[in-house]
Amino acid sequence: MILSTECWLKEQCKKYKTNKEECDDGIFCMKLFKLDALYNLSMLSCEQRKHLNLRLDASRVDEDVFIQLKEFQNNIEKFIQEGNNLYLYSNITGNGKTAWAIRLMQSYFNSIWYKTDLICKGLFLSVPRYLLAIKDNISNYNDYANFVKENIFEADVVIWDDIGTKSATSFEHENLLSIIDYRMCYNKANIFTSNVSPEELRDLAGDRLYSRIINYSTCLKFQGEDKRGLKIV
Amino acid sequence: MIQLQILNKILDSKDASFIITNNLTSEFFSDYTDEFNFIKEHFDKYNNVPDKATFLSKFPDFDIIQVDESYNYLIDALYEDRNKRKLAGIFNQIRKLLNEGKTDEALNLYSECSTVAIQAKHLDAVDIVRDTSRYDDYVERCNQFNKYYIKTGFPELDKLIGGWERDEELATIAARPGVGKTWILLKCAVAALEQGLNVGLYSGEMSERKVGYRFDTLVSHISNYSISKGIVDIQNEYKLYIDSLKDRFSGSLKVLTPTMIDGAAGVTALRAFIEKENLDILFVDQHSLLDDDRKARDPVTRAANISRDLKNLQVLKKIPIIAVSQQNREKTENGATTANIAQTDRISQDSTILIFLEQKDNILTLNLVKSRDSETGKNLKFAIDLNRGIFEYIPESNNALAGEGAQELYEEYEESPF
Repeated sequence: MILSTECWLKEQCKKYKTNKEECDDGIFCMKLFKLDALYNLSMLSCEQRKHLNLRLDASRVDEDVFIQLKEFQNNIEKFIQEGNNLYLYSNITGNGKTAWAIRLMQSYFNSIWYKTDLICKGLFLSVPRYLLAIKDNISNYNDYANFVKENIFEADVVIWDDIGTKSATSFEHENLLSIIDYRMCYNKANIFTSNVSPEELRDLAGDRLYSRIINYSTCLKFQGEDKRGLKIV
Repeated sequence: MIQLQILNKILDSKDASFIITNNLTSEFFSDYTDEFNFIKEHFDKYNNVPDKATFLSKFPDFDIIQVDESYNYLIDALYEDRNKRKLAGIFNQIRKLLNEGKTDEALNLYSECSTVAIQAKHLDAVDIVRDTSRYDDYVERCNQFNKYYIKTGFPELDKLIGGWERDEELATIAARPGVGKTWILLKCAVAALEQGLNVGLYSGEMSERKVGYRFDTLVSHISNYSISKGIVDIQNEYKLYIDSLKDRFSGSLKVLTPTMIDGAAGVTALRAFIEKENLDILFVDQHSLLDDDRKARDPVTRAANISRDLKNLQVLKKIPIIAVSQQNREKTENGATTANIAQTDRISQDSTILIFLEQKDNILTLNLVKSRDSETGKNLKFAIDLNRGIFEYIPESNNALAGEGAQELYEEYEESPF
């Protein structure tokens, strides 16, 4: 683990507001230390862990979805402890599904950092990358696949990013199914993001995976425009 | 005479418990070996001490005398008699060896002398239903913590073990190489120093200068790298700290290294260190860098000898001894156990407290594996920056303190009420 040298929490930190000088001098900060550890174990990149503004389109088409997600965010500990699942989908890319999933994980980390054990509490999994990694791991030791394997069963919440982007082979299918099935049996929370609707997921991932994901998840459809690359004026 | 008195006392009282509870053997009865063996064999066979008539029929010349001395006096005198005879025998052998020019053999024999002399043990059991003096002891412990314990330097560890017990602590801190054992030991030494104690540190590997630099970092939090590599940027800050040092502590921290005594210290040398410097607590870095006074060649026996001698030293001097030791190479994924000490099990058996250390990603984990008076098997984690001598306790919900400290942390950093 490489500890952050630059504090990325300043904007939301009470201590920074009252002890700006000390903090800028590089005094040891337990919050930064623990959150760094949690984020590093989650496999979210430094870029992804930054606080992003989540914006509605002018048409406010996703307003209901945002309200519902905000509600989950406000009760994130309960949401995760109860082992709830979310399926965020849209056939439009870049309209905030992954950003919202990450926002929920951030909220969870922010609500538990001061009391949690320093183990993998949340895991961000890019499904396409993971599927490549497990195949690579058959012939070569793959760090990513093995890290996921070590932590995915026990993490409180897993973000399955971009699930159902292509038809899964039976090997991939069985792998995903066994993990998701285990997590659901043990009441572990999952957030799935996808570019396919629940019906399309059934065709791509098969009945068994579809059944586990869709029947146990709150499905929310994003309809806003692609916002990648947009800047606030 | 004492041997005769004891045999008469046994015959008179017909009480064989005196033999059994004191583990008496024929070696205590050099002048009456046959008589003692007869009584012992009779007791083993018939479960009673022979009466005087039986005894005298076997040993008609035996003198029957009246013995009014207490059992305690008699047993002390018998042990003294036995020790005198044993030691005289050894010293005669030593003299013979010296006359033959065999100085090394004579020295080895001499170093073994102390184990030959043994103390009598009086069987004075305590009725704990009627003797409730322990309550007074408890009250005193409540009111005068410092009289009984020395803070370890880790307040959270103190909450678990109370601190180092002043009279009867032989603690072992074990880890694989490179984890930071010496840093931890030195941090504990600094904490003892801050309590105004005379602290001793045997450093088997590091020079007194290197130890001094680490001490400076732990006290001042000035970069250890900058101090030891001579980085000029910190010179003013370091000078200010050095100038302030003599007024900062009322106690002392005495460092002993092998170069000061022409080789690795044995436990006898540590005893001399304790007595000369009038130490209140001794830190040893580390077991494997101590010499075996008994000169065993086999490494396991050697380590066991050192451990046993350290234990005896602690019992004799009644000050806490805190030593570091190597952890063996066995995997500890399911938690370290007493079997993970390198070299010999004896070290974990002799230790009153056993703490294993792990370090990964700047997180130091203290696993309390053995402790007489507290729950074991749980751990405490600390965020560490050894370069600056920083150890910050990390509250975790499943740690040995069940997450204690989390609320304070929340209030320190967060806006909204807990």
